[in-house]
Amino acid sequence: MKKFLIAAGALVSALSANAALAEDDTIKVGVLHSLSGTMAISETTLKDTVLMMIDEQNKAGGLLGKQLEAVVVDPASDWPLFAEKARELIEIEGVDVMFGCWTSVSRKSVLPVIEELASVPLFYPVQYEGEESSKFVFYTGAAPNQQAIPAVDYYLEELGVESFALLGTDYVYPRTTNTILEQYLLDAGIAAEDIFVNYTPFGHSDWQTIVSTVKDLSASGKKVGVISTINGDANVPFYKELANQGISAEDIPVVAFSVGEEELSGLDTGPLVGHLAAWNYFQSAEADVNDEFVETWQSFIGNDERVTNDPMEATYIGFKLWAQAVEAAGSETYADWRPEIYGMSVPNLTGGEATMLPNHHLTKPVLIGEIQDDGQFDIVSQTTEVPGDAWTDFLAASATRMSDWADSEVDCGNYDTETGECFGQNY
Amino acid sequence: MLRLLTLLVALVILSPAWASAQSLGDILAGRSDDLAAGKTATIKEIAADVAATRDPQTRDVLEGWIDGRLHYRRSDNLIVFADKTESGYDLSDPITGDALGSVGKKDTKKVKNSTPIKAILRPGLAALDLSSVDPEKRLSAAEQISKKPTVQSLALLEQALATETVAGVQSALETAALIATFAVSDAADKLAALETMGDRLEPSVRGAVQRVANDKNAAPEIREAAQARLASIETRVALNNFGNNILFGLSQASVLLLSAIGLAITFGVMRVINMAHGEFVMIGAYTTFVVQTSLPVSSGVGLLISIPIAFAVAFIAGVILERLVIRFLYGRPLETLLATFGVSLVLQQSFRLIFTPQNRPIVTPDWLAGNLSLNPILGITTPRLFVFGIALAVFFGLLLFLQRSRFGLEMRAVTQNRAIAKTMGINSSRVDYLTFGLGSGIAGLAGAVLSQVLKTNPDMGTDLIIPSFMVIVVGGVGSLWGALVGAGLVGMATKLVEPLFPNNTLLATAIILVAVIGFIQFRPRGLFAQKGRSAEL
Repeated sequence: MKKFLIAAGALVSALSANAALAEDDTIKVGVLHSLSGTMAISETTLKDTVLMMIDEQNKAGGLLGKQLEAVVVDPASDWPLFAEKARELIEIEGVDVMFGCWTSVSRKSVLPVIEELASVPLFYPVQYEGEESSKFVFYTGAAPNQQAIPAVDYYLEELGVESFALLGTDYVYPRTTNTILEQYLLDAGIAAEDIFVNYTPFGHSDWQTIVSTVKDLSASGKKVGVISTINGDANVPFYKELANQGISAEDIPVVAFSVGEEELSGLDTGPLVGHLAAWNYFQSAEADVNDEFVETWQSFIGNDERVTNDPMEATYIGFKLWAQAVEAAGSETYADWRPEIYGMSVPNLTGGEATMLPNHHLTKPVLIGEIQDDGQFDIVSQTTEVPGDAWTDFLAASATRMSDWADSEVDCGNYDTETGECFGQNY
Repeated sequence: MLRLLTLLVALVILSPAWASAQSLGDILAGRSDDLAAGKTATIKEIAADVAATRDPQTRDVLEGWIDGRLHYRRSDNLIVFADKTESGYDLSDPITGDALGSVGKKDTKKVKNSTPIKAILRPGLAALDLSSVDPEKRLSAAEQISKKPTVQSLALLEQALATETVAGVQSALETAALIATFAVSDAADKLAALETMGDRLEPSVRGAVQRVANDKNAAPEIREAAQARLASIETRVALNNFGNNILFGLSQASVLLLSAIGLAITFGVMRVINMAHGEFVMIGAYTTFVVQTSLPVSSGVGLLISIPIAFAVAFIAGVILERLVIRFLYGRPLETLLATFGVSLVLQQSFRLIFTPQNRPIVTPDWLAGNLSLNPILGITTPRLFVFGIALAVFFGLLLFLQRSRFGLEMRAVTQNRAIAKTMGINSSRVDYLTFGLGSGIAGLAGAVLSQVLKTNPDMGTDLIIPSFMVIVVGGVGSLWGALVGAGLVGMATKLVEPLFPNNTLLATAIILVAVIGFIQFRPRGLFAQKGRSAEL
C-alpha cells in the first residue's frame, strides 16, 4: 500500500512537472471535434483545419515566441462525452484555448463545464440557432440573421415562393431556426396554412412520403419552396428521393443550411443542379485570400480534389482572431486577451472584414449559391457584411434581449433592455 | 455588279426596320460588360431582350445560356460559347459559330444563369421549341409554357395543337392550354373549361383551378364552379394518395426485407446474434462504390457486376469472421453479441479511415433513374422498383436453395439437431461457416442494391441493424417466410402511420416501435413461431 502511494505521488509530481515544462515552451490548443461516430462525417475536416492553422502559425514562428501544440481528443459524437473531454482538455491537459463542437447539442453539453471552470474559451465554428451568448464561447459561424433570414428573403423576393415547406432533423438547431422562420414568414404575410413543417429523426432514410407531400403542395396553386435544416447523412437519401421523383430546382427549389461542398462531395450532384444553399462562404468565391486558403488546405491534406467549406472558414477566422488577440495582449491567458479581441478584424475569405462583436459573434457577408454539377456552388447572391445577432428580433421573447461582454455596465450575454437586467443563466 | 448594288440599296432601305428591334448580335456585343458584371437585375433585363429576338441563333443562345455554355472572356468581356475540354475551354462565337481558340479554366466565366434568370430565358426558348421537329422538345416546351402562361402563349399553344400529331405531346399541349385558359382567358372560356376538363390529377392543373377558386375578382359562379370541380377531384386525389402510401409501404418493406434477409440466416437459423450484420451490408455498398470508380465500365454495368462481387466479398468476410471469432462462441449468445459488436466497431472505423467519413457517391445509372408513374400522383421511383424486384428474387432464390439443394438440407439438419446430423456424416463445422458466409454474402448483395436508395457511409450499418432485428423478431426467428411477412408488416405499418403525423415523422417511428414491443408481448416468438423440439434450442 505504502509503495503504491509513493509510486502514485511520484507519478503525480512527474506529471505536474511535465505540465509546468509544457507551459513554458508551448501554447496548447485543444481540438474538440468528433473523429468517430455519426458526426465524424463533418468534424474530422475541422480537426484537420485547426491542425493546418497551427502548422502555418508554427512555420511563421509561433505565437509570442512559443510554438503551438495541438491536443486532439475524440468526443465520438457522444454529447455527454463532449463535456467530459472539455474538462479533460482544461483540467488535465491545461490547454489555453479550444476549437470545437459541431452540433448545438454538443455545444450545450460543453457550456456548463467551461462556465464552471471559467478559464478557457471555446471557438465554435458552425452556423447555429442563436438565442445564446456565453462569455466563454466565440460563435464564428452564422447566427440565424446571417443565414436563414437572408435565404428566406431570397425565396420571397427573387424566386417568388408563396408556400413554404420547412423540413428539419429533430433537434435544437432546426426546431429553433424553424420557430424563428415561421414567425418571420407570418410577419411577411405568408398564411399559416402555407407553411408546412416536418421533423425527422437523425439518419432518416425513407423520404418517399415527405417528398411526395411536398410535391403535392403545389396543388395549392402557389409557388412552393423547401427550406431544409436536415442535418447529417439523412441528406443523402433525401436528395436521392428528390432527384428520382423528378423535382427540379426550377419547380420546387430546396435551400439547405447544412449542406456545403464537403457534403456534396458525397452526392451524385448531376440531378441536384440549381438547388440552393445559404452560407457565409463558398469555395467558389473569387478572392485572392480564398485562392491561397484553398491551395494551403489542399497541399496540407495532400489531395488537390479536397474541397473547403463554410465551417472551415469560420475555424480559420476564429483562429486568426485568437492569434491576433493573443499577440496584442502579449499573453495567452484568456482574461488578458479577452478585452483585445472585441472590435478586432481579419479578412473574410469572400471579401470584406470579419469583426468580432462584443456579443461574441462576427460580421459576415451572406452568400446564396446554386449547386453545380461539379459539386461547387455558383454564387447567385451576396450581401455586404451582416453583424451577427445573438438574440433574434423575430421572436417576441428575444427581441428585447442583447448581449454585450465589452461594456462593463452590461457585461452579460442576455441583457434585457426593457428591465435593464440579465436573467437566469450566465450565458 | 448591278446585283450587288441592288442588294446594297435593299439593305439600306431595310435597315431601319432592323434597328428598331435589336438584333441578337448587337445585344451580346453591346451589353457584354453588363453581362460580365453579374448584377442579377440588369442580367434579367438583358435576358428578356435576348428572349424577344428572333434571329437564327436565338434558340442556340437561349439554350446555351440556360445550360451554362454562354461565357464571357475575362480579358475583354467578349461573349462566347465555351465547351469544356480537359484543360480548359474551347471558345466559339455564338453568332457566327467561328472558333475562337482554347483557353484555360480560369480565363472565362459563365454568364450568370441562376434560377430567376432561367425563368426569363425558358419561356423564350419554349416559344421557339413549340415548332421544333423534335417531339421531346415540343413536350417540354408545352410544360414550360404552362408554368407562366400569357395571352400570346395561349394562342401559340392553340396554334400548335392544330397541327400536333404525336399523342403524348398533344395531351401535354392540351394540359398547358387548359392551365393557360384558367390564367388568362375570359369568364365564359373558364366556365366552359371547368365543365369539360374532367377530374384531372396533375398538381399544376389543380393549382390552376385552385387559383381560379381563390380569385376574389372572379364572378361568383366561376368561383363556385371551380370549387365544385376541386371537390369532385378531391376524392380521386385522396384515393390515389392512399394508393401511393401502399406503394411506399411495399417499397419500404422491400428495403427492410433485403437488409434483414441475411440476418434471417445468421440469426434466424444459426442463432448467432450478429451485431456486425449492418457492416456486411456496408461492405456490399462500398464494393459497389469501388467497382464504380475503379473499373472502366459505365455506371450501369458497374452496378450489375457489383452485385455478385459484393456477394463474394461479404461471403469471404463472413467466413473469416466465423472461423476467427464466432465458432468459439456457439451457444454463448451474450459473448457472441459483444464480440460481433466489437467487430462492427472495428469495421466501421476502418472504413472511416480508408474511405473518409464522408458519404461516397454512388451514381444512379441512366436506365435506373427517374420514376414510373401510373398517373400524376400514383407512382414509384425506378431505383425503388429495382430494389423491390431484387428483394423478391433473393427471397425466393434463397427459399428454393434451402429447400431443394443438398447444402440446404445439411444446413437445416445441423441447425435442427447437430449431434444427429454429425452421426449422419455431415461435416457440421463446414456447414457452419458456409451458412454464416451465405448470410453475410446476402447482406453484402443487399448493400450493393440498397446503395441506390440509401447512403453509403461508415454509419449505414448502425442504422440498419435495429430495423433488421425488428423484422426478424416480428416475423419469427428461424423462418424465411417470417422475414418476408415481418418486413411487409413493419414497412406497411410505417408508411401508413407516417401520413397521419405529417409534421412529425419521429413520432410515427416511435409509434411503430411501441407497437412492435406490444406485439412481442402477445407473440413472443413472432408470427411464424417454430414448433417442436428445434424451437427449444
